[in-house]
Amino acid sequence: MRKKIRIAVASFVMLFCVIYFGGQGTQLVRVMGPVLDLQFYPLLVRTGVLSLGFMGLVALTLIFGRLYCSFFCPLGILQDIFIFSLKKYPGTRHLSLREKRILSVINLLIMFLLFISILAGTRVLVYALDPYSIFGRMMINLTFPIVALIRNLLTSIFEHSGFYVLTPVSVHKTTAGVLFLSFLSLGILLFLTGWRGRLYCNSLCPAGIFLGLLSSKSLARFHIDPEKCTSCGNCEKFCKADCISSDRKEIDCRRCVSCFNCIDSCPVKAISYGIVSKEVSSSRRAFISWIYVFLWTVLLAVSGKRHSIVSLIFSDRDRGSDISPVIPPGAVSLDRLLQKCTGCQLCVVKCPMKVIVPGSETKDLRRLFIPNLDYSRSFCLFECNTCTQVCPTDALVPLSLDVKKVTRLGNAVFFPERCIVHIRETACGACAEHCPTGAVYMVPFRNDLYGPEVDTAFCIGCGACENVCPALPEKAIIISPLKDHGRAEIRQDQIQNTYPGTPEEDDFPF
Amino acid sequence: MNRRDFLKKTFAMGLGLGYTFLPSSLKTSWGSESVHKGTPFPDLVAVKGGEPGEMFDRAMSFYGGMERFISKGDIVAVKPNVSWDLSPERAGNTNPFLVARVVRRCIEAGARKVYVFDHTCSNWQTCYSMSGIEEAVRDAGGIMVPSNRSQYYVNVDIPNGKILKNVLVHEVLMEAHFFINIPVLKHHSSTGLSIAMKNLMGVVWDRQAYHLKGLNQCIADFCLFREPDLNIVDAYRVITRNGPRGRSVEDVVNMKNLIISSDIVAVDTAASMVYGMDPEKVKYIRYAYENNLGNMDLSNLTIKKIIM
Repeated sequence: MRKKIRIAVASFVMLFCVIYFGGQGTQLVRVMGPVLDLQFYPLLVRTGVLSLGFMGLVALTLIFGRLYCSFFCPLGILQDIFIFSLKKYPGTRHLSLREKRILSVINLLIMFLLFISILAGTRVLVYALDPYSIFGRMMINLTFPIVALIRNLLTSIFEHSGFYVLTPVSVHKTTAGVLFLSFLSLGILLFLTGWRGRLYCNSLCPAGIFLGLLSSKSLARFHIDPEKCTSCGNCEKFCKADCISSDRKEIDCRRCVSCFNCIDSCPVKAISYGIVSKEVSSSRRAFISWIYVFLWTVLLAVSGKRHSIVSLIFSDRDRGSDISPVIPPGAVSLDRLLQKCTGCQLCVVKCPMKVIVPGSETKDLRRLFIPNLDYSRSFCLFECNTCTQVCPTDALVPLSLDVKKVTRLGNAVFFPERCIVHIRETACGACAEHCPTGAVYMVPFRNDLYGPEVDTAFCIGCGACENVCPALPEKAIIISPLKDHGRAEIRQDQIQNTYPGTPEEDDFPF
Repeated sequence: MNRRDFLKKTFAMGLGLGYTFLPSSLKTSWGSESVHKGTPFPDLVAVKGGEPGEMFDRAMSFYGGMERFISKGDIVAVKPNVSWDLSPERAGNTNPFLVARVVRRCIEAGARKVYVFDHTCSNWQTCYSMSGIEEAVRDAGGIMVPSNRSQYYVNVDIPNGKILKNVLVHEVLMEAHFFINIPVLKHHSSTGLSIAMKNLMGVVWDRQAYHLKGLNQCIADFCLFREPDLNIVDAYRVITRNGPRGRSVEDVVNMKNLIISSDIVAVDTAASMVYGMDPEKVKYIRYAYENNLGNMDLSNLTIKKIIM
């Protein structure tokens, strides 16, 4: 029964995530937003370790165990689907002592790396392992293009028969780094689930390891009644987390993902889930395990802070040698974005202009999957604030449309020596045409011609001018990115608008 | 209709009738490119003072109605201006009520399909919906066609073009029997005005090529490939500064005008005069005239003027 509830909840979460990550619309945001907002990392990054939400998750795990991993985590559910459809359960072959040692070394190594990277001022490694963001990256970079292709093929077929019922969708540009990371995640995940079930969750996943440490102390837990158990090994066959030893009649609660498979599989009903008196563990093991919890909490707390210890001492502002990117509205500053963005890339897929690129082609690893705006491809739509509305980690703070319209991402810079009007003496003005704020406008140039001029006071850096500028080989107007977003003035035209013609009220001028 | 209107209309009709009795040699010396020469209809109809849909109906009643142009089973392509993600009050796009009325009249005249499209400057879905045109066209029975992918465009040659020799044109235009152009009259920062010919930039894929080669000449050259069969200039709300997009409703003036003609040069000339700008200052009009695409001298045309 409880397994059925788990499957029902998980199916619902999965269905929502697939629709949400695989589609264009944002109508689901309000209804279903909480499903994403309550994911482990979005919750932690958005609200911090000491917040009510995160403490609630901790308390829940301390009481009920790692329900999150089986009920709510999209990547966990995805692994369950792999395991179910491949019929590959870890089975009764236990890991050898050597394999266990290797795994615990890997476990320690990852924690060490996470600490080092956070102290070095980047969370890129943490976010690279965050299950929610891995799921997002895989959906958006591997699944969505295929879905879009099929949809566009269908659209074309319909349109050739004269039915304009479907609309074509465009696919975002991606970077080699992000694509590689997505394929790598999928490969590793398929390998690990095929080999030993939910091994990722217990050896690589920072959320899984942390929740595992908590659930080893949880109140309600899975328990084998040694009187009833016949050590038939049936439960082990269906355990995805590889955490039951039917010989010793033990369940390792730290590794257990609370899937309830074992309860249903036991022929003599020896396994129960409920409050049991804890077996007394040796004080040394208990001590080590609490040290672990403490370290993880510190790790998570530090990764929720705006500045890491090192970057407080050594400001990394002037460190970046390469060009900084234009970052999406709501990011506030590049520093903040680097700290808060887990790279789930929801903004990338939801952007109607497909101007957001899910990463930079730079040597700066910190920006591996940080979104940025590519104006050679498209521009940021004036009447749109979608990306700021969908971000579950608040890396892009929600902006109302009015605020977004004055949020400055960069400044337009005009190069007359490249401009068509200036070098060819022919009418153009594409930049001023597209400028939504009046920051780029036309002034008399020569011979009845008008040439562009820029007033950056009104510029929001949307990139429309840069995108449409026909000048070759280099654009005559480009956006110079801001590391800290600014606020633009709204242009007010002082002169009263007068009817330019003077036709009589009741006649035509011809 | 008051007495003054009556007198005016009688006078106008008299003019129109007079025109039909003129020796045909006189008429053909001007407007030789006119598709419908020798008909009892005026060359251009200008209406003033009504609502968009009503002005159109009134104008068409003197222009022979849609039945004059559309036969049963025709496929009609309608090209309004849907450049921007602006609401109708901002007048950056053609008035949705006017577009809807045109679509409805086409269907009533027996059109099999009425396709409405524009290669928008901003995001196409936002433009289609914010302009109100998508909804209006659907309600009227027309079909909104997307235009955001290069696959929709076919390459055509323009052998007579001065600088525009070939161009990628929306497939709907190639398929259509009848092509209606519904521009909105508005200020334009580099060409002076955006009217009927400028609106045709929205049926091609690569607008940047126009800017690169020479905007005004390319606009005039395109009409050598295909002139619209009917031009309906929406000058109900008009952006008179900061065009073609406009920054606020302050840039918009209510002119309540509508001009229709099959002669794209004449309709642009008339519209720029209504706007209060010398047509000679709008260079593409002069270039199109030099391409023998129509009349710039309105005094040689029969014009039906209606004040509502």
